[in-house]
Amino acid sequence: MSPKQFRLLIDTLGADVAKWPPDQRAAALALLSESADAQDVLRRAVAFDGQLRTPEPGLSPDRRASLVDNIMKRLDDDRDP
Amino acid sequence: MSSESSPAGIALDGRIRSWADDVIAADPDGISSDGESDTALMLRVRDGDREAFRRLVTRHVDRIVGLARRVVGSAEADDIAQDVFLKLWARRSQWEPRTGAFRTWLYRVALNQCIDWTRKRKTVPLDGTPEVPDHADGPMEICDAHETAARVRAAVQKIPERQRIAITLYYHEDLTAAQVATIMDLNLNAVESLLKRGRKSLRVLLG
Repeated sequence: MSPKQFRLLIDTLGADVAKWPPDQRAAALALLSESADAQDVLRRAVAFDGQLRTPEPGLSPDRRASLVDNIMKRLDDDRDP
Repeated sequence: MSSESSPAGIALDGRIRSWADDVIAADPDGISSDGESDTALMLRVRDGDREAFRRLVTRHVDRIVGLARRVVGSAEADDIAQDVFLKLWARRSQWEPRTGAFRTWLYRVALNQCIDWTRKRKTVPLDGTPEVPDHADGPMEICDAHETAARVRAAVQKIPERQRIAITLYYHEDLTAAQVATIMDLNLNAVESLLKRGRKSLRVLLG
């Protein structure tokens, strides 16, 4: 895999090599084992992926229970929302 | 199906489907700590079991509220989540375990609901959507998590709708490109193109 192909995969599928097509993973790992530039590209991509993966704050137990109760109360409404 | 070429040159059309099917088939399908899978619960729901449905809703409501926050905005997220689960209940007899994982079906219903809300809303600005206060963590954690999540959410909501959906499913929901393609009813090349363009825009927006 060339550095250009590696960068293209990063730009398209992000830094999680496990989510890349299986036939590209071995070539990417081989490049990473020998290229400091590729390692640097991956490091920066991992940081950016971390932002994109930021989880939404979870619901509090009270609010989750209230939402679930509201849904269950409305099950017999005739309309399809 | 789109005829866009793969930006990463990753796969030829002839083998995309089998790869996608393999990935979906490998989905653990939401087996929870209570030991009952989504599929098992959904089979009971199909027969009208309300307790099984309550467990499914409780298991997935945070996920759907979070997805709606990203795709539409915080102010509407609770209402969208309620409509999504009511739609699932109304259409429970249509669900077939052979047609795919429960989560795939759930995401499809949720995204269609998000798109409907976005189209109904027409001209409401997304960027200024107020935060709905709700705190599952302590004050400091809430502050940091809310600040980062709000910043990313604001950026995601500035990119085109299909890119926003693809990016949200791929990164926020941690699905594979093949799973995103199945949920969005696109081919893999089209999803890769959406991911590439979305990521490029977000890199600019998030600095």
